[in-house]
Amino acid sequence: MSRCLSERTLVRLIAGNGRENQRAHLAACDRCDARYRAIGRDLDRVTDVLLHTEPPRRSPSLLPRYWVPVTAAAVAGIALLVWVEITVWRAVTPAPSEEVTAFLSDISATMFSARDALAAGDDSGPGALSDGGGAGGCSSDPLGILGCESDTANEQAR
Amino acid sequence: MEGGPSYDDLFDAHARRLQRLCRLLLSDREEAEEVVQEVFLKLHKAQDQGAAPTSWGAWLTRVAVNLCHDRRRAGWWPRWRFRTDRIEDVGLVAREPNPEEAAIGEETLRRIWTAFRRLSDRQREVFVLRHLEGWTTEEVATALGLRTGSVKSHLFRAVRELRAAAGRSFR
Ligand SMILES: [Zn+2]
Repeated sequence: MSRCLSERTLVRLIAGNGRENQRAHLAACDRCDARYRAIGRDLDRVTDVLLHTEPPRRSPSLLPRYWVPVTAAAVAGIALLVWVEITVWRAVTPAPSEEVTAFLSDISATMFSARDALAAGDDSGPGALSDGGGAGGCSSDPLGILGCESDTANEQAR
Repeated sequence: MEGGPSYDDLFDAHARRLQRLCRLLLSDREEAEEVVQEVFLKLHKAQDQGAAPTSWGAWLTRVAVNLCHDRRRAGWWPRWRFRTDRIEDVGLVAREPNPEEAAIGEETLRRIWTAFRRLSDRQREVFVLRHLEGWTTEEVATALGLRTGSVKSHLFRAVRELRAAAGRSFR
């Protein structure tokens, strides 16, 4: 005799499926026949429950019915935004490369040194550049922006 | 109706059964009542038009199952909206549980009902017609417009789930 039938095959036979040799085994094997009948008894109990008992009560919803879909939609919207931020936005925005970072720090260093230099020039006296009759000229132009012509002109005017 | 059962006879013979059937398929008492009313409206029209099926019982069942199926396919929102804030499920059959049912226990009952509700529409329809109404696979296939292989496949899944829900407690 062929091997005994699996539980799955027995259920399949109950549902009307299964092969001819499986049906033949079932007819010849007391053990499988007993298992087959046990499944049938379980199903009888199921039908008995469905026909003669009350379905368990459902719990009433704690949330007002309209808030559930609204909340679900809001959560889904937020999740979508987060997803767009993580995947799409980051994909199209290149991360700063090392070269860019180095360039930015160079710019930064230059700007800070220039500011320091200007600050040092200011220490020579407030209004040194704007004071027309005062001691302007090269001494008040540490970066050489103004040149020294103003000194000469001042000399000639005197 | 010459020779056939009257509308009232059919109503008395089948209304309660159809009510239970529709409640099983829809999980909603009020909707089940609406469907049964619609079924008997169709019966009235069919008798007026002189229809004479081989079995009025099978005809009524087929109409009821198809109406339930249409209801369930009508969309989740209307069904959900009308169901969520309502405590439903007063007894299917108003009677004391028999000793066997009492022995099954609340937990098992809950498990069986939960498993039944989790079945797909088709699995539920096929199981109800095959095992509760006692139809043959071919009759189920004809009523639901499915191939017999498809009926067997739905039935296999339904039986597997329900048997698992019931079997665990009886072993
Ligand atoms: Zn065997």
